[in-house]
Amino acid sequence: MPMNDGITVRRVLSSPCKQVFEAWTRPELMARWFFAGVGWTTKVTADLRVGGRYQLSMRDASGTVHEQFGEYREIVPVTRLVFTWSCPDLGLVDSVVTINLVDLGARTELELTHVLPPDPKVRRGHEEGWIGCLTNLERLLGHLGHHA
Amino acid sequence: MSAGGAVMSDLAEPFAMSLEAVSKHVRVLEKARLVRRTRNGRTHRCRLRPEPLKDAARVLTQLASLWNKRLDSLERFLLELKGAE
Repeated sequence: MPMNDGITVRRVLSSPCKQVFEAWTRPELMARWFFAGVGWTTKVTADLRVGGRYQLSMRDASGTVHEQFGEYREIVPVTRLVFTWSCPDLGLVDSVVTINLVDLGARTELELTHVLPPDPKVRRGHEEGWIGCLTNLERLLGHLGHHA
Repeated sequence: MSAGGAVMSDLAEPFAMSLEAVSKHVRVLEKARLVRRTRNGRTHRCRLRPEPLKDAARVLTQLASLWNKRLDSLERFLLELKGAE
């Protein structure tokens, strides 16, 4: 679902909540799926407590390493996980990922929301701070639209 | 503003703000490279730069695709675990 400053992805998984939560939080399990392509390998460290940090080093098929890291903000076993997400590849600093798990018995509904920071912390190349202004710009353009 | 560019006083008109205050806001947008300002004597004209907005949309599209791939991968992994049980 597109938003102005983030995305939401939903998926029903055919495993119980506890197992899905563990797949998201135990480093040795995370390492087995947390990558985006075939032939990738992932090294994971995770200090699962509020304020604790995690790091994912994903090596793609060509050997290039993609880093992603952040800090846990909220941990509610086995239904909710909130962490910051920084990704130099995408030029993202301290975006926020929220995972909500809904217990459907043998299955689990997973809702992932990834929100870009509202303040100008997102960087892309040298264009610092552009995203934080989007809301203001939209408001401005909205006003201008009324008066056009 | 996106087509021919807007003069600062026109930009300020719909807001209950002084020209200086609006100018300050425009400066923020300018710094963020969302707006380009040109000066012709005392007249300041602003023009919208759509590129960074497209970048924002592109990042969100990339993120959605990335998470969908990861969730595919998670789904496969969970099925694998099931198979091993």
